[in-house]
Amino acid sequence: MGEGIMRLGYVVSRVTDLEAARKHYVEVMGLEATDRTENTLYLKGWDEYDHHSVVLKQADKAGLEKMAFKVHTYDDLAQLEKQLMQYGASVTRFSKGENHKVGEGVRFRLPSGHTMELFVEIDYKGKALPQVNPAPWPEGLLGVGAPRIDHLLITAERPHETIEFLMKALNFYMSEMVVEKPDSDFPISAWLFRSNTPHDIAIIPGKDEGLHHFAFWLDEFTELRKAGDVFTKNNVPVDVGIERHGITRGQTIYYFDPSGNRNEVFTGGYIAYPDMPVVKWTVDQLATGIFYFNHREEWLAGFTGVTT
Amino acid sequence: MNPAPSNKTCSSHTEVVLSEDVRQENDTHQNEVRHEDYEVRIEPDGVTIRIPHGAQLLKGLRDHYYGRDGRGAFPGCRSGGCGYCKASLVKGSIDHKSTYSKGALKDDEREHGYILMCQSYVLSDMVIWLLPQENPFLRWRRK
Repeated sequence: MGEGIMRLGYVVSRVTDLEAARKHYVEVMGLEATDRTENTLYLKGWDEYDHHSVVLKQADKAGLEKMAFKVHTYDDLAQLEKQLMQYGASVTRFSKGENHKVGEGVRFRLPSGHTMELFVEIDYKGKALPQVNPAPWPEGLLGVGAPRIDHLLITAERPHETIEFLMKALNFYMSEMVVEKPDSDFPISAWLFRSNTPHDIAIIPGKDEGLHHFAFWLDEFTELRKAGDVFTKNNVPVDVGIERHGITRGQTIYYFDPSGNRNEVFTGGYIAYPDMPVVKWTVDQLATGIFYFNHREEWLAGFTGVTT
Repeated sequence: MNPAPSNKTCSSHTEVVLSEDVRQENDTHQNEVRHEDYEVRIEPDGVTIRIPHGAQLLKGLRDHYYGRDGRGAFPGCRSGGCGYCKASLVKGSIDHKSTYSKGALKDDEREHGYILMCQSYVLSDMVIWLLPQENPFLRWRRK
């Protein structure tokens, strides 16, 4: 097999007020709207070159409609399709154009009920910078000015089933996991990657099909401070932060979009390689794993239990 | 005429001088029915707080209930999405906004007296019943 899944391509998030969502994601987060229909808005960050990384869809409930991962080649797609079927997944092919600006691919459900898609091609839009002699950042960014999407965290009633599915059928690597005891290998939660970051997707206990958050990358720690300023200036409900994760070692602010979907601005963490030894967090140290600075037990139930 | 209030310092006190427009607006408000704060009883704790007429119920609880007397801070989205502030309206009258996630509050739940406190604006004395919240990691932490 070739190189398989490359990265998180895009998320499709349901919003209950599309105009309020547009205002938030464009004017506060600083994403570029690349296309829109009556009920759907397509967005990307300034450092992204594919047509979109976030799709907002008007709906009567919040949450995650689906996630789509970009695969290196069509040979890889065919191989992954075969692996999915061997694993027992029900896989359907979708054709070019069924997803706006996206080529053909495969669709299936995770054991947690989430819809996932794999695709190879998506229209090229280009960064907000030239490819020749570019400046480090573009002029005119609004608000936070997030450069790109980074990862998402989903919830599952039986996380280990979805973790095993992602690793065995789709060749995700594990960077870190939560276990009951140091010698346990049963993942209560896990952080998985295909790119070179500690997580492209993570899974924690909770309701099936739940979205805990999807995250935007920021290039450095001081940009979190600016993001916090922007959030308060714009009455964005901040959840937690600035904080440090024990797990992934990233730094963070969590906040909510106008439909109540949790988002994160994230920076730092380490480079993850496929051969890295898995880091374990025992569940009694979970508060430190999640929020290294404050590690407050009383935050856990709310932080992990609030989902869309 | 300057429409903004200005401060005029007298010998012993500071008096706020209002423009004519602002005075007229204040007079109009005084002629309206004046609402006292409403009593909101929060069950099962049995705690009573006071919330002004027309104020958001969740804001009242965040100001006077959550984060006090050993209770944790409110962790939900405050935007009608997560359902963490779902409660039963036992008694009382509210204005409940209509744009919220039906995943957070289903139509049949709304018909059976459940509300999202972040979407509720207080119109009378009331009694609410908060729902228990689950810690998703609890089953592993109990052992």
